[in-house]
Amino acid sequence: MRTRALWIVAATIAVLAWALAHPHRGDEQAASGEGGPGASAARDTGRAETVSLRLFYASPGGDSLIGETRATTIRTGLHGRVEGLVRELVRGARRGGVPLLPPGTAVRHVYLDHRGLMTLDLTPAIRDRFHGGSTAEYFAVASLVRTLLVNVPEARSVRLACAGEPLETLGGHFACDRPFDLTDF
Amino acid sequence: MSVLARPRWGTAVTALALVTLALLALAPGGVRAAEPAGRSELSLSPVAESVPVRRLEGEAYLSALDLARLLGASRAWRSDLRRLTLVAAGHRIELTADSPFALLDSSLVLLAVAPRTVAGELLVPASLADTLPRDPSLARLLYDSNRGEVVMLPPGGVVRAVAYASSDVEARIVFLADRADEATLADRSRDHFRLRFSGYFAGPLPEAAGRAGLVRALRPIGTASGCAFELTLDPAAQSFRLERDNPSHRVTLTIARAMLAGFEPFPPESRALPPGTPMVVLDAGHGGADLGVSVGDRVEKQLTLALARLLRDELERRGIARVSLTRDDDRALTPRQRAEAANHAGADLFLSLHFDGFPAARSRGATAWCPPLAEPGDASASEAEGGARGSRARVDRSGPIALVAWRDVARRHAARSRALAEAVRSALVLHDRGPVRVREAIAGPLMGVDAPGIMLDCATLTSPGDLDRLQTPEDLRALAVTLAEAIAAYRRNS
Repeated sequence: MRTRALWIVAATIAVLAWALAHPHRGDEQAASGEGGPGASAARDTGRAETVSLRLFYASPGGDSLIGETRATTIRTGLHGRVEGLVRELVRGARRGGVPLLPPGTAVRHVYLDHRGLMTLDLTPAIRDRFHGGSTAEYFAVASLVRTLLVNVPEARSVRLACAGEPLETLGGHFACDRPFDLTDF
Repeated sequence: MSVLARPRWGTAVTALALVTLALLALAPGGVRAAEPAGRSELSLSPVAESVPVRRLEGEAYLSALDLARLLGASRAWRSDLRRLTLVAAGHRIELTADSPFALLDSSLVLLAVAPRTVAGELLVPASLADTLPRDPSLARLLYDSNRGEVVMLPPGGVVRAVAYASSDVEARIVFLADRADEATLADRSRDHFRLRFSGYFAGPLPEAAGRAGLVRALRPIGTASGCAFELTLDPAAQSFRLERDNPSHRVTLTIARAMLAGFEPFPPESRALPPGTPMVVLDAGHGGADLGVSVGDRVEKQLTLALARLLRDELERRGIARVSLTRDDDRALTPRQRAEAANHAGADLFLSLHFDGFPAARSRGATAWCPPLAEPGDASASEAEGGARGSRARVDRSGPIALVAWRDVARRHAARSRALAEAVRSALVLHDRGPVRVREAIAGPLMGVDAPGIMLDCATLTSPGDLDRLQTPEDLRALAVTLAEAIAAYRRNS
């Protein structure tokens, strides 16, 4: 009996120790900005690398997105990659596309959870400096979402935030408070 | 021994499981009870309710139980002091039987009459309802002596008609409304001129109203929320003006015998439309501080309002539809307010009017945004992805009833919305206003609209060619005629 009781106490202590040591894997990943299972994005190291990015801009007629491949230097890791993508989108197209993200738009934070949901927190410029009609608004979101999901294969959907708050809308024509995926555009 | 050991072993295993579950529940991001969605919305939207008062010796009383129910208050009765304490939304109300003094929070209030007990029930004076603290978190009550009821007021507050004056030149009705800015004209024909408020009407109407002058009749009419009035006007009435003064809570409706500066004319050839005529709700995009697209002196919010008014006149003149506008002045509305206006009006068709703007001048023409069709299997997809979907609806087809999130309700009308978009495209192209694109997405103004509808960018202001065709009032009138033809064509084909 005494031996059995000792086994129970030992098992309880083991469970307690395990639970305290592993609070929640998903939260830990999100807080660190790491990718989920199978993610190829490495932890930010501050190292820079030259990579080929596929960027999407609106067509001059406002009818569709047009893609452009560009080699550029970005920091390694998820944050560095997304930061580079947004920077290049703001910088503009070289092959006739129309950039729609307002100047000053930049990445504040980016998180990728274990389901592949990327939460992208942008500076207020994206909301405050956006001027345009519904077509510009639609393609601004479309170019951002498509560029991110094509270049960050671990991400399956993107949720937009602005200055730490959910981004409800960019210009008032479309709701941005739900995650977007590639099938939306 | 073994008989005694079994329960101990079982107890230990149970305890271990409970400890493990407790730890997992306490861990960050661990198992949590699901919070009911929309709870805060429910608590902020009190259902209008009323309780009849009782008359005792000429005074109006209300049961303390009814008062507590209307306020959502907890009750505590001290029989030794004969004192009832109500606590609601952080406020405390103390009422003592046979004492005319009540304690409201920290203030002592002298009541018109003392609460009294009748057959073991505490009755409080109905006028107490008017002295309760004004706090958005506390239900606001009103003693309506005309109806002999204590009423829980809607968010729009109270509306009173305070004055009617008539002269040879004009007739004027003044209302006092807590939300003066929410007064809208729902119909502007002389026979059925309708003014709508979001608040509760605490009558009566001025006695002189409807007896003399340009206003032949004035009566309150039923409405889904708030209150509304219908006026029958003399055919000699030529123009009207609705003024909303929010600081003073005054809404002034002036009917004039001539076309005066700053007044609006009645719709031309205004006539009563036959029953069954569809209701078209026109939504003038943007407004207030939200200018929309601006190019030179052309401002989107002004263009959409002017176009909405012209299109309303055209539709009513042709007898195509009854028309209601979500806004008839320069003010900002949220998408929710626009949808509520459409749904309350009983829209058979919804048209949100906009003008586009794009950084490249090559972009031109119009775009009709219509809600996409619901796709079978969306439910499973959205659940598996944790709701990671953009404009697509959460359609749960797992049971016998398909559930659609209310904001996506426009998708129920996707096919007819598409038909409307095609009718608009045909009409615009026919009048050389193309190219016209039809795109599928639930635009903000369509969210929550339970009717076929589209958001229409009528032209692209940043295109010099399009802008040239929007310079004069006649240009806008021509566009309104084209859109009226499109709606007529849609009606014929649907």
